[in-house]
Amino acid sequence: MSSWYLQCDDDVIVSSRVRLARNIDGIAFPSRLSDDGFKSLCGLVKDAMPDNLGANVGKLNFIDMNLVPDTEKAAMVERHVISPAFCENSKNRGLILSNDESVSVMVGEEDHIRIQVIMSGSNIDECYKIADNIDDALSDKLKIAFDKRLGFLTECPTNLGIGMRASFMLHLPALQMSGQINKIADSVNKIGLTVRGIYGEGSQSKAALYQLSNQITLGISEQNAIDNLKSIAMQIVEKEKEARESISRIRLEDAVLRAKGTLMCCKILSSEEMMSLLSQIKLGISMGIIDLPKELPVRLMIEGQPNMLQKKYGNMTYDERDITRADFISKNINNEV
Amino acid sequence: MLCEKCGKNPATTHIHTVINGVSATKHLCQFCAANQNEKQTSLANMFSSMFSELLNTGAIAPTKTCDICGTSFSSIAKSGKAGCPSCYSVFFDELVPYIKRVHGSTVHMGKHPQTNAQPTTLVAVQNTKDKKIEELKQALKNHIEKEEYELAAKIRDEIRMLEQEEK
Repeated sequence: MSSWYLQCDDDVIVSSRVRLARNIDGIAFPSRLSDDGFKSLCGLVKDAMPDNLGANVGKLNFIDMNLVPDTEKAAMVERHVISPAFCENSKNRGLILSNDESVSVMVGEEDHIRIQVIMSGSNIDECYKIADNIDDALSDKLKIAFDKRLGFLTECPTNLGIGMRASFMLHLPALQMSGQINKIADSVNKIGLTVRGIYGEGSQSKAALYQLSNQITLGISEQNAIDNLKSIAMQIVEKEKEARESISRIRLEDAVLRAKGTLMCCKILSSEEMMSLLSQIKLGISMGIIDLPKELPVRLMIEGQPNMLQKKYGNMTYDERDITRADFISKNINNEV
Repeated sequence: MLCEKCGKNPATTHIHTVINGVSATKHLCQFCAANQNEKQTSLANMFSSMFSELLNTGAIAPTKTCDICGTSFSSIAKSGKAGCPSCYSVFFDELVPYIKRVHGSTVHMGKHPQTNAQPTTLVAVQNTKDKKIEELKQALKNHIEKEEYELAAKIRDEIRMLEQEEK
C-alpha cells in the first residue's frame, strides 16, 4: 500500500483518521517530563511495540526524532504523519512509523503515546481496527493509565474517557461558497462534533478542506463515537452534493477551466494560490468538467507544500520555492492532459 | 453588499449585537468573519479558565499537591493539564464538576484495557533545578509585565546562575 495522499479519489471524503491518546501509569505527563524522562519513555514504548502488524500494515520502524532533519520533520507535518506540536518539541522524542506511513505512533507528544492511523477516502472503521490492535499490543506490555470512572487518563482532561479523536477530512467547496459551512459547524457542535478548516485561518479554508471530528470522549463508546461521526459525515456529503448541483454550471466551468489554465501556464505559484486552484480542479473533476485522474489534486496539494518541495529539490529561498512549485505543478498537470 | 471590514469580498455573515440597548449589525465576508471567530478560545484554554474561576473563589486549597509528581491543583488549574495519571485520583473531587461541564458526563463507556503488565516504577519528573528555573522564568515574566525592572534583573541573574551550574 502507498501513502494516503497518493490515492484520494473520493469526491468529498478525502481521508479518514483515528488518533488514540494513551499514557503509562507512574510516569509524569510530557509537559512535566525531563529530557531523560523522554529517553526512558521512548525505550519503554519501543520495547513494547510489535515489530510487525501483519498483512495490512506491515513492518513498524522506530525513528529517533533527534536524528530527523528539520525539513523532513516539517514535511512529516505536511503529510499529516506527525502533529505541528510534535514537530516543534521533538527533542528526545520517538516516532514509530509503518512503511506506507498509514500508522504513526508519536511518543512524547501531549500524551506519552499517540497512536494515529490515517487512510484515504472513507475508511474510518479500518483505521480504528488497526489503532485498537496497536493499543491492545501496547497494553499487553505496558501498564496503561486507566480509571474505571474516567477511562483512559490523559494530560488534558478534554481527552479523558476513550481518548479517541476520529475524523474525516472533507472537501466542501460548494458548502463554503454558499456560506452554509458556518451553519453546519454550529449545528454539529451541539451534538459533540466539531468542524474546522484546515490549510487556512480560523474556520475558513483556502482549499475548502474541513476536518470533521468528535469532540466528546467521555460517556460515549468508541463505536458510538465513530457511528455518530459517520452518520453526520454522510449527511454533510449529501448537502455538499446538493449544493454542487445548485451552482450555476457556466460559472463553475469558468472557474474550473481558469484554475486549470493558470496551473498549466503559471511561472510563480504561492502555496495559498496552489491550494485554492487545486481545490477548483478537484471540484471540476468530480463534476465532470475536466478529465484528470481523481487522485491528482490531493497528491499535488501535499507534494506542493513548502517542505515537501525542499525535500525534493533542496533548500530554496521563498521566491525560488514559488518558481519551483509553479514548474512542478504545471509539469504534473500538463503530463496528464 | 461588500464586507464592511475589507471592502473587497461580498458580505456573507451578518452579526447582530445589542449593547446597553443599542443594537448594531456588522456585515462581514467569510474571511473577516473567520478572523473574528479566531478570537474565541480553544477548549483547553476554556478548561483552564473554568478552573481559575473556582480557584479565585477560594473553594479549593491551592497548596494540595499530588504525592506522585508534586503538581499542585493551582498548577493544573492554570495550565488546564494534569501532572501525571495519579493527579486524577488525588484531585478527583475537585476535577469532576469541570470534567462534567466539558463532556456532559463523568462515566467512561468505552474500552477497558486488558493487561497483566507490571506497574512502571519510573517516575521521571523534571528535576528540582529545572522546575526552579521554570518558576523563576514565570516570575520574571510577571515582573516585566508589571514593569518592575529591578526585581526582574535580579531574577534574570539568578536564572543565569542556575543555568550555568547545570552546564
